[in-house]
Amino acid sequence: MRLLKIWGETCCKRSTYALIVVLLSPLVQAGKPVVEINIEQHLFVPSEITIPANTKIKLRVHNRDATPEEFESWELNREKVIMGNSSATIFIGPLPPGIYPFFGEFNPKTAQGKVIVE
Amino acid sequence: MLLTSVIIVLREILEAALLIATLLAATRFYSIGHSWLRISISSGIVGALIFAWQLRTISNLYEGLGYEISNAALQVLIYGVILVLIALLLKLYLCGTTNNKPLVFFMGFALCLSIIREGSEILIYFSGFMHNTETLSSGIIGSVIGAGVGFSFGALFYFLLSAFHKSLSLMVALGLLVLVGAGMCSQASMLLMQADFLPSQRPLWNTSSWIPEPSIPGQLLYALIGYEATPSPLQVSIYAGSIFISLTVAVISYTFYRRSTNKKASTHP
Repeated sequence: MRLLKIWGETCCKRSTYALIVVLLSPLVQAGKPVVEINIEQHLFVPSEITIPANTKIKLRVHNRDATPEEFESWELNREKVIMGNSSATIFIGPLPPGIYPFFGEFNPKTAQGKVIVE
Repeated sequence: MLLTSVIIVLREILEAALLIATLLAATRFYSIGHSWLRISISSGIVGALIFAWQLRTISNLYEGLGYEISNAALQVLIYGVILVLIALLLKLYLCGTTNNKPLVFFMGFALCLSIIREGSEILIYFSGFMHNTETLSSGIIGSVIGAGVGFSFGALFYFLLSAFHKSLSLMVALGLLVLVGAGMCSQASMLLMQADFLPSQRPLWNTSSWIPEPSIPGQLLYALIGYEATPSPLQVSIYAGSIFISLTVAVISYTFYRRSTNKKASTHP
């Protein structure tokens, strides 16, 4: 019974900590390096970004076109629709060194890019 | 443009088409009717229109992470509806067709949510080329081909499931619902990682050289079992955990409805 009580209290504390982490995560996000990319004429500008290995970064994608685009990457496991003339935030990493391609799903012929992790 | 439209529409329609096929195959021995399909598809399209129309506002919520939160919420809701469906399909199988209204409602609700999620993306894609006369025709033709291929996969899948007898058909359908539900939870967790609400981790394995995610088998498996070529340990744990919950619901429902059927049989010999 005592063991159960201790286990219950530990779980309760853990879930409280987890809840605090989730609630505070926007504050933690504020300290992450920010990388900006534009979408112009269905192209990513710049089309290559270099980020440090094992670091989480905040990617800000600004869609300067009037039409929507979907940022997609199989290698990064990321997908997000970005409406025309608006911006979106996508967190990527921490990643091991390598090259991670991404593309615009709505215009895959032109909207191609790479995240180079060094 | 043509190929892009085919791929986008096919990817989005596949999940709903396979869900329709699974639900129709599981209930084909009972007089449920198909009116729920009509209502569910039309309300799903209306919901998708509203979602697509409001996506800009939704995306800007919570410091620009509204897209991830709303989509993850939809996926978790679909998982919840699938849990209810598992219980109700077992009830239908064990107790027969006494009151099908809850089953019909939740089948329609699951499909409606799935259409809202996938359909809104198709509508947003359409909005990008609707005003451009150069790309309009190839976009529409590509979308029709994509939709045709998607629904053909659904029809093929339905006939495949229909080849099984009653109990095996139900077992396969339940198994698929369990995996579709787990896929929803896994996708929701990935979106929460993208929004930094859950920690991102290195992949547990990499099967992209065997079954690449963009390939047709990869997309079919994605729609059916939530296939990911490079899942993180947390994603795999959430996937396994959701399967465990679904199986627990199935076992509890089976025991409960079996007992109540036996009780009825003993009181009315």
